Amino acid sequence: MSTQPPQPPVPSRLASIAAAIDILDQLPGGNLILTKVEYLLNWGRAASLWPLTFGLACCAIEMMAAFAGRFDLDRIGVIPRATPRQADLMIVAGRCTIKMAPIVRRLWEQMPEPKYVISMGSCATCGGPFYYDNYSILKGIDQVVPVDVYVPGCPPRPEALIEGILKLQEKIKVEPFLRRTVAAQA
Amino acid sequence: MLDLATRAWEAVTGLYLGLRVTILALVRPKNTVKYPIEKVNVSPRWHGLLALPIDPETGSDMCIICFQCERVCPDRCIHIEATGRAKDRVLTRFDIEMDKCCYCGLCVEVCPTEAIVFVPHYEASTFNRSNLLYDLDDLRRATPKEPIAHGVVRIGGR
Amino acid sequence: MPLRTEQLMLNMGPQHPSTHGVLRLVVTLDGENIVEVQPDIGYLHSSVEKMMEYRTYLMNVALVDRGMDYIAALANEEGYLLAVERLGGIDVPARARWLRTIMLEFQRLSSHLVWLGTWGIDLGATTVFLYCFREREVILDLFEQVTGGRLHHVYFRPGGVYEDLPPGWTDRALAFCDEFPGHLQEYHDLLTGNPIFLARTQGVGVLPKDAAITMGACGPVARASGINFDVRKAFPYEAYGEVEFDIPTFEQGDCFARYLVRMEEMRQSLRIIRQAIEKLPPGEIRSKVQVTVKLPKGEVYARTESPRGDLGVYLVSSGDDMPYRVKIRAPSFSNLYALTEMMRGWKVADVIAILGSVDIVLSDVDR
Repeated sequence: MSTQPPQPPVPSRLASIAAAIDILDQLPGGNLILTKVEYLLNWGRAASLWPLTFGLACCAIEMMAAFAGRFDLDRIGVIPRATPRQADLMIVAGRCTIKMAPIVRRLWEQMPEPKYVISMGSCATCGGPFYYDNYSILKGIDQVVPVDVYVPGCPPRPEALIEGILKLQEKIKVEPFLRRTVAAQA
Repeated sequence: MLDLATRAWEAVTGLYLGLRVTILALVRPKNTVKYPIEKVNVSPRWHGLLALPIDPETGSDMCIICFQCERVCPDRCIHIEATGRAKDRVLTRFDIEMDKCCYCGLCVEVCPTEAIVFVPHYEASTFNRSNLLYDLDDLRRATPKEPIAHGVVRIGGR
Repeated sequence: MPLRTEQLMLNMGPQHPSTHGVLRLVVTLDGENIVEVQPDIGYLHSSVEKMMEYRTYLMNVALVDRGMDYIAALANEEGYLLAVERLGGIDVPARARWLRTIMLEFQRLSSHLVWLGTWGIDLGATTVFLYCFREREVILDLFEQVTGGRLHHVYFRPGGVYEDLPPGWTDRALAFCDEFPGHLQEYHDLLTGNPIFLARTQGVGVLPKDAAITMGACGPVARASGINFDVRKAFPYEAYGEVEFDIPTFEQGDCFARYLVRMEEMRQSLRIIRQAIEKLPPGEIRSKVQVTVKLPKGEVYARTESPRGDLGVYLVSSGDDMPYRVKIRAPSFSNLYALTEMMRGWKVADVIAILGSVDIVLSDVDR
């Protein structure tokens, strides 16, 4: 039995970004450059949110209507992806049962960072009409995954969903994206 | 040979018919609503958000605190409290949990004074769930300034 | 000497783009051939039958919209209220009965359009989805003007309907009826003439007539297998006894026949809507029923034809203002059972085509 000697850590892309941030922090006016780069990155991310096509119940039909011709979510760069590996937004559309909750959690964990969740409709937000006298529905999807935007309605109009996505874009546009990613990996 | 020719002919006609529909749709009027810029005129009966309109004569709500809406709500999302006795009763709490509400309109239907109405608004998404608990001030503020046709327009006959 | 092979278990779902909701299919494969399909349900069980025991009869109208088949919400209301009205002996005015008939047929149209669009996506014909939802939005606008809801309209009430039609609505509805056959022809052009579509559906997933009866298939699935049965004709409710329409029946029992049955049903729905608007009588729309109506002690079974098939509601009352027990016989559930028979022996790529052609709604299966 021979134990391998510990390998020296390979400098990853993240580490080089962290080093660049450190240098920029010390330079006069470096913060300004960092902010501009972050602004560009955030603009790109906000304008190409790819949601996971993940319909649970009735709200999924309104989500489909939002993707169809009349409300056309492709206009604002929202293209449905069928696999969590390619998605960065999860629209939880509809009620989630206790049996389904671990699967929703696993799908969320399979999505690459940075990821966002929109809770669409009353049932996903807090159980809605299924809150009382019920043994099978989860009382809100935020017990399983962290939610960024809540869209009320039962089901919300497609416009209401688009408004929720626009609201999420506002949130993405002001995020300290680079700094947070580096800090999360450190 | 003949079979192949028939199949080729079927493929050509099938492709032609399908593409004709697609190309004709190009010249038809568009039906896309560019949402944040344009908006669909929702029908006056649309089950949007709930509001408590203010009576212009008295300057207060039209609610007579009969608890009908609280009783009929299938989601039990309306909470009403009042102080005082008989005619001096004052509304101290009128909360609607908009996240739990299923927008069914039963409360609007049973209200004897039309104190609770639907407004044709639907944009209320928030970052925080606690913003969806509408209290008395929120509900009064949700009422539009101009008079609206709410969900009880009844027209008899044909 | 035959090659020794092992059977492979394949999980489809619950998150799969074309399982139409949260269905999990455990498919046993021998090479590429399906040996057995076992549907695993319960991922959308919302315990609506239990919840109805704690709500009054009026509140339950709002609940059955969401808890059951959500694509055809009005069909659920109809099934439930038919049971309530039969047990309570509640009289429904003539105008309300005709209004209900019009709304139910529009609901059937919008439900079939959702089915056609999503099935088109499953089979790779993505454009059909856009065309179907274009017409569906017109129907939803018509719904919105009458009921105030796009998907969940709490419109029917014990003893009638909530509101009357707004002025000019019948003209808009008739205008839609006039232009819709042209759109139906568009769908036929896009799909029926397409050789790829024909190759994927014709002769695939055959359900023989005797198997359909044994498995309890209902609705368009049974009619595609040659069973000439429709609850609207056999046990007429509302105004269906006074309108003329045909039951489309096909003998083949394959996916293509199921598609043709639904396409023809849409045409018949238009026929019913036209007749109903023509015969719409004036008068009351709602008889006087208390908000907390109490039904006499007893039990009743009401069956209706929902867009998916035979929807039955069994209601037991103990004389209170809430039902004692409600049992819903869901059409999707029995059709899902027939699915196991249809899929045996086909290739794994046909699972999507067969599953889509049955048109199940998981909320209806699990309740």
